[in-house]
Amino acid sequence: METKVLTKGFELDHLFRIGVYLDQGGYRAVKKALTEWKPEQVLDEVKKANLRGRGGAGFPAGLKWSFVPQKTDKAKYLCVNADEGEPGTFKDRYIMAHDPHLLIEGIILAAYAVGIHTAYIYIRGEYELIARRLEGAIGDAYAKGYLGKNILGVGFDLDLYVHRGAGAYICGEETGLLESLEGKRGNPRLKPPFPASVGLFQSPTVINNVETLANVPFIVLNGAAWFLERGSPKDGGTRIFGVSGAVNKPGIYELPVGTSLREIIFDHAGGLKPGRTLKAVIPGGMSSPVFKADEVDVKMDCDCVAAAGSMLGSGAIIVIDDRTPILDVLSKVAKFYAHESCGQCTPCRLGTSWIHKIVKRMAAGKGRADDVDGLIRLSANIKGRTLCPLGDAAALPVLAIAKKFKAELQTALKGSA
Amino acid sequence: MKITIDHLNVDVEGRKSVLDAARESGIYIPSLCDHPRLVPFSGCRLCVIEVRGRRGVVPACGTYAEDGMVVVTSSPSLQKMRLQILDLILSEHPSACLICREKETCEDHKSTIRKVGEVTGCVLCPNNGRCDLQTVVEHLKPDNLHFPALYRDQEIHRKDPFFERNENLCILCGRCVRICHEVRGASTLAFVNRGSQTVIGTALGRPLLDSGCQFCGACVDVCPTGALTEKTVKYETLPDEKKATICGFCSQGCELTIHVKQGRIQASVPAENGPVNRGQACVRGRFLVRDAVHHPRRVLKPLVRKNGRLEETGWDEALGLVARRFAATAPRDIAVFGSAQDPCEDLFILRKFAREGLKTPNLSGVEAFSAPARLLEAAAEQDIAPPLNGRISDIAKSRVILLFGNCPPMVGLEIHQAVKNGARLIVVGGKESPSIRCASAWLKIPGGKEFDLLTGLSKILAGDGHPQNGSGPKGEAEFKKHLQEFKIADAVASSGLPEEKLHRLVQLLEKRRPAAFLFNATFAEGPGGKANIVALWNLALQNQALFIPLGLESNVRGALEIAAHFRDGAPSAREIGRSILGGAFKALYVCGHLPRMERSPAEFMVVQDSYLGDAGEFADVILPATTFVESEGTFVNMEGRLQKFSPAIAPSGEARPGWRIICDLAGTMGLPGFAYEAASAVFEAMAKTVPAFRGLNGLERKAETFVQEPAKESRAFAVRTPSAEEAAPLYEHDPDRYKGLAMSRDIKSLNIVRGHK
Repeated sequence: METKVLTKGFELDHLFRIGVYLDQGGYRAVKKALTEWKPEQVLDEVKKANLRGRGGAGFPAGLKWSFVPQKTDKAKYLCVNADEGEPGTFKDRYIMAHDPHLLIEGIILAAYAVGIHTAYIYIRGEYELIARRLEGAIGDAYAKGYLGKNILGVGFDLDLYVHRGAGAYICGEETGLLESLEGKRGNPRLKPPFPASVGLFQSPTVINNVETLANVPFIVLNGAAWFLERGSPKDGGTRIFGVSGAVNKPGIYELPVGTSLREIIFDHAGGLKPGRTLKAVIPGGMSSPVFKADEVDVKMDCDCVAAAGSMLGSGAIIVIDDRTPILDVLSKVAKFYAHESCGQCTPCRLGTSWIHKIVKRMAAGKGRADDVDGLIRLSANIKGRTLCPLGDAAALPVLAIAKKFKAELQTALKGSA
Repeated sequence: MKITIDHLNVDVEGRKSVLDAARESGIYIPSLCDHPRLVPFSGCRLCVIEVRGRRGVVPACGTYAEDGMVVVTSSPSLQKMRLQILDLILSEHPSACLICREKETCEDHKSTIRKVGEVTGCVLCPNNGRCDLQTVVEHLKPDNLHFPALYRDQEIHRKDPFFERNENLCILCGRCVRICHEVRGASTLAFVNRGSQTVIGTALGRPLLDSGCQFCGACVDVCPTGALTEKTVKYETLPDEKKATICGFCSQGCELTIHVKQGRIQASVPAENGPVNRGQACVRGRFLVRDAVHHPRRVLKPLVRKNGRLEETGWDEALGLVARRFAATAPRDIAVFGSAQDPCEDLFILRKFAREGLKTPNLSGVEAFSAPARLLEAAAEQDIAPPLNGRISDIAKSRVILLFGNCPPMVGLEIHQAVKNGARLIVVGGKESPSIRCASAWLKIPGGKEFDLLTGLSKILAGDGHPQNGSGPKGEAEFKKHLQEFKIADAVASSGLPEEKLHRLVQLLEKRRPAAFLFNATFAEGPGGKANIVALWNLALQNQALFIPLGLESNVRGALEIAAHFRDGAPSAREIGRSILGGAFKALYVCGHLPRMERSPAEFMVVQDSYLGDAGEFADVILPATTFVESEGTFVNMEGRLQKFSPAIAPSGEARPGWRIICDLAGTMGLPGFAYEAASAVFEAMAKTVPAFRGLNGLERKAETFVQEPAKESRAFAVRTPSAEEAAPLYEHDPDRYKGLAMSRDIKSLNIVRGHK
């Protein structure tokens, strides 16, 4: 079975041009849904397809949409999370750069299903070229009548805007994204209320990842059953895994949800570089707890990875070989989260900062005997006690590394002493 | 709804956080970032609790009570969690003292080593025990710190007046940022940088003076540590006692708590439960009470002019001189000018003395030149009875607000709340003020020329429809006839606004109800003032808008009610006021401030004031009066709220309360009927005679009391042509003036704020 769905057209030249996209059968899903289906049918089909969020949390998309109140006096909004800030993740940029109309199509379908007339793509500031390409594609879609007033003559309106971020990890957290989009400092909001009821500009809001929405046109065209066939029963479709690190062929691999981690690393990504062996894998972006080399026989779907003690996250697989000291990995992790904590809540602001300080002194050869235990204690104190998921994202990888590689870290400490 | 907190059944009314519900039931949950006036922030994480059926822990401040909820606030695991969080907080705050074993014995020696550049522990903290963090530490009792304290090593911001900002003591609870933004609408302070580098700062790190700060001090009051400290209070020990008073600086009547130390004012802070201000104040109430009351310009002993110079003397000599001169002057040659910043008791006695003692009809006062006075004048001519007891708190419920001129700060806060809830503010005229920042439009039409604009709006609002048969307000037919004759072109010409904009304004009024119309003295004074009021009244009636004249001085409303009672056929207070300045009288008794004059307005002038002010320049006798902090009395605020206050400190020097001075003078003159023992006795007499106060109890502070309004039909259009007017406004109201003290000139810190551009 052909596994490439989302990335199938990536080899074509100029797919981002609307002419090429239409030649490939583009916007057929929009035509089908808007002219033949009621909004509820789109929603039902996506629900049945068990499409789970590709951004990190893996929340079922259809369920998320259904939380938005049907009847409300307020405008409803769709925010596309294209901040792609999770270290190791580089899949959304491929979709937006190669196939921006696929995303736009997904946006139109989601908006139609939920009754939304204004959508924003919040894209990370560094993706300047892609942002421009998106704006070009949006302009073309307006010109062809797929965006704007009375789309395809069915009386459905949708406006779509691109908003560039300014380089903060926290703005990829959905409520931080909303604050930033409103023009404020990107601090997270207290939940509840959840964005589905009180989101952007105090109005009901859906926030979806780029890859999640890019799946929707295929679900509409081919049906939920087709989509489920391509993945796990409770986690449909394919996923774009971004493999980086010490493999022969780093890059993106679109594979069925549920493909084993070992298969991805050794078959698709070409295994480790010559003369090296596998030491550890971070399976779902830097915030997911690390697997040791003997833990990679895990099916890559949300539930299986969770059962194995980590998370599928954004599907970003970081492969670590035996030549890489785990302390180096820990240093990168600690530095990143200390730098990206927004500073609003105590455990995250100070916890990440202290973790970074301790790891720094370990790396400088000035570690203390109880530093590894200190790291475990500190990250356990952050976990579950912070305002937003950033705290957990910072604590979980440190906790996992410190526990699973305690011996190596202790040896490093002794070596320096 | 019922919830269970630590096995205690608690009834909760309305939407309330678990933290608030627990507080009300006397259960203490440690918290540093929560504040009753602010949206939950859930930053400090000390208030973590367990809720049955929910995973993990949640913050009590951001968790709302639900029926049947079962909450645990203090289990050993929660306390341990809090200790760990506190451990982190203390790592960014100099805290060695908090867990020092020598803590208690150290108390005795603190005072000798306090004033240092760098604070490394509580012993050296400028805030000296005014610290929520200490309270939390005392509750959680950490016995050891697992992290060394990291001193941020930021320079202390000392350049701004009134308070200092020391980021090294900040625990980033964000209360200051949030109160500045959410309640004050100034948004001067913000978080700068992120993560552990976060500090509180201003845009581009400029001083507060350059950053739109109003120096209300709200940030200082909510700061849980010594990061924000009032300069005059830092390193001082705690006050001996705290006394409640009503701020005498303006017409809003904010309740203040006076901190008294060795008989002097240490600080004045807004009362948390003040009915008008609910924990807020402005720069005057928060920072200037101390400076004003203990000002070097205070008159401490009676002064009598001898050989052209004012010399200190005793009360007997001063009062004797005044009594002799008044007795030797014909009643019609004596005039009395009252202050609207004195309490009702002083105002009542002053007028009673003039009418019954001196038997002169020549009574005037500042209140005669206020916005509500002009409204009453216009109302008398038009035979309408506008309500005066409009509530300040109703402004926040409005959906569109027309503000003519400037408004007092607490009114500004209500306007800000309304705008935050989606209302539109249109400001007409006035000077640059904080309210302008939240206005949708600022129409810079010169004061006194708003009549055409308002009538134009009325015309558009009325449309072409004919009045319905008799169902509309009185005078509707006549009013519509007026409107038909009015040309929109006139409104366009005099306002300078295109006709399309007038239509847009009317659309706003039609779509957004309720509306609130507020106007100050600039709108009401001058040649067109009365016509302005009439036009605004009619527009308010058409649109069923809240209609509030903004008096400025602390007791304008009380003064108006008392003056109305004593008028009794005498010439109008405005005319008398003009005559006084024109030098028409031989002897004058002036309370507080008179506009600056070229030469003495009378042969003999007595000034009763707390300060040696402008009027003192020509005074023959100055009688020292107490300030509001030193006296007992009642103020009536701009919404008709009667508020009693008691002395917080003893009078400075030989100053006496205003009513007492007059009673003593009457006694010296041998006049009967002025033998009052106390301010309360004066109030009782007033409550028997002055209609607005009839039956009111000035002593009762518990219930909200409002002066009475005549129950007259107020739904009538004003259709008569307003009477002819004098030219220029006579009295310039200055919000920064307290009696003879021009605070923006005489108090350096305010001078810096006002003079800073």
